Amino acid sequence: MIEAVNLTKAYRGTRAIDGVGFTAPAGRITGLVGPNGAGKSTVMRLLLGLERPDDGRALINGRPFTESANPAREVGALLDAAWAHPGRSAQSHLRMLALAGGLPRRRVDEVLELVELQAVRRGRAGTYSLGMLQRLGIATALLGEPRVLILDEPTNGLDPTGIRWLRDVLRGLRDDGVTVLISSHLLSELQQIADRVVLLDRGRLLVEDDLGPLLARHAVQGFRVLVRRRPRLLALLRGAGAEVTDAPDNGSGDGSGSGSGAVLVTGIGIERLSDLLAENDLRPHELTPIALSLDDVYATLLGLRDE
Amino acid sequence: MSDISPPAVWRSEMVKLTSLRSTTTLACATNAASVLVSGLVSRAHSSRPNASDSSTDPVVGSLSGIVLAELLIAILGALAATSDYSSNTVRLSLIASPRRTRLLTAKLGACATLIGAVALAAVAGSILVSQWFLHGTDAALTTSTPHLPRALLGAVTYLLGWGLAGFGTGLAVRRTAPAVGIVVILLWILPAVLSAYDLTLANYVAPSATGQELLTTTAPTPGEPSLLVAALSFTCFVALCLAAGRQSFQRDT
Repeated sequence: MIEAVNLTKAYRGTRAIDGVGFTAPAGRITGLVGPNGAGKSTVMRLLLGLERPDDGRALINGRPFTESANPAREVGALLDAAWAHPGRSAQSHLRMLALAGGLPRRRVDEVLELVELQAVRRGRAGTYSLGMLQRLGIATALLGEPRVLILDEPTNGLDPTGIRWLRDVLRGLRDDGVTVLISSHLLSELQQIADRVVLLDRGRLLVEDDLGPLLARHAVQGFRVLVRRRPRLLALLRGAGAEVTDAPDNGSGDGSGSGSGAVLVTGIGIERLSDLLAENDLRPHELTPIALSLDDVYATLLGLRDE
Repeated sequence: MSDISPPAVWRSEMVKLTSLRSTTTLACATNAASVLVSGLVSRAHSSRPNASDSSTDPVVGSLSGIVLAELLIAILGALAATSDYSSNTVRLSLIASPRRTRLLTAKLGACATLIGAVALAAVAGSILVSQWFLHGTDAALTTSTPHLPRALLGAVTYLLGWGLAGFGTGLAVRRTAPAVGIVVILLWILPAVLSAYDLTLANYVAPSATGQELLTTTAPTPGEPSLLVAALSFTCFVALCLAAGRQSFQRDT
């Protein structure tokens, strides 16, 4: 388990993070979300003891990481895929870290196989593509078969197959009880694997919650409706107390957005809406529940802050 | 009980150093430069009618290449530290082995091992080549040359000292260009400036002057420190560089 307690860190008088506290429980994938400069990477560096907090505590399994007896087996981390000397081979890179962590040499071959870098293991890291470097970073994080994983933007540079592969790996580790803390600016990607979300903004904690309740609480429940007799629909819905706006383009590229006459209806349940349509002989050409997304919640919460 | 043993961390640091082409190239260049310069100077001496110059220490005369080797070995030490920062692998090492004192000790041990080996090879190679040219002349070293083993050990220690000073400087400033600049200032510019003001002060303080006393076999002249004082002064200089490096290593990474 990861615990951040009132973490505060300033650089030259400017607070990068200010009293941040959250928990990433074991057997869950916790997403660390926030705009650039929110303090995500700073939190991760503090958790790993690379920097010391000005105030507060960063605990991993109940104690500071720097006091861990078996750090490589306890925590694996990927903070930046570029953290590899361009003149060193992947094999030497991993071997050096395996030795430093007291890990058996066979782990080097195992993780190279896992991330599919076995064929280029003797090639210098400077010749690797971004995706290969990212895979090397993931191999580094998984080297000690750790019980806690801290990953900063791990999907950067991975192709769709690689992203799917990583998602499966992380889900498997989560099911094995591993604590996973993962930051990503790809919220749609994070939504597919995270169980919990910690939202930071300008160095402060905005929200910490399980993903499901968070989405249910903040996202707008609504429906996209398209009928032939739009004025009649608008009058009926407003009469029933619903809020109606032009629906944004649905992204399908078929022109079925606001230009097609579709409306976004909120403040009314599906039963009442379908009854209204049936009672008034309004046959829907489209009736779609609005998909809830972490992007929407994120935008909503940041918007609330700005208000 | 930790699974991590200090020798394992030392081996990790050795892999880190020896797996880089820049390190091995510079180590070879240090040896080659030392041997080449020592050989060329000895060859020039051997071709003169009076090869033996009473004012020249025979060991110092046989190790002319050390002037270049001391610079290269100090840069090698600096690179051993700064390459870790420039590639951020120091952060990965700290995640794998987060106790900074243990990691720093391993780094120092690995650096001393590498530099000690390079220094030993540079001194041995230079002596062998210079003696090959000086063989049969009065300048040749013999088993009766006074304090010869101590002077040869002193030469290795001198180079090792500069390598560790470079390592400490590299750790302290974390970037290669400033570290090399500081090394050049300490090695060449500081003695020149000090000598311009007070030659005796330069002899007692400038690390290149005090360190070179370690490899002399002749007694100090007036204004020069004794071997013990010179050794103490040089050790203090190296220790200061390492202390500066340690201080920096304990800071946020």
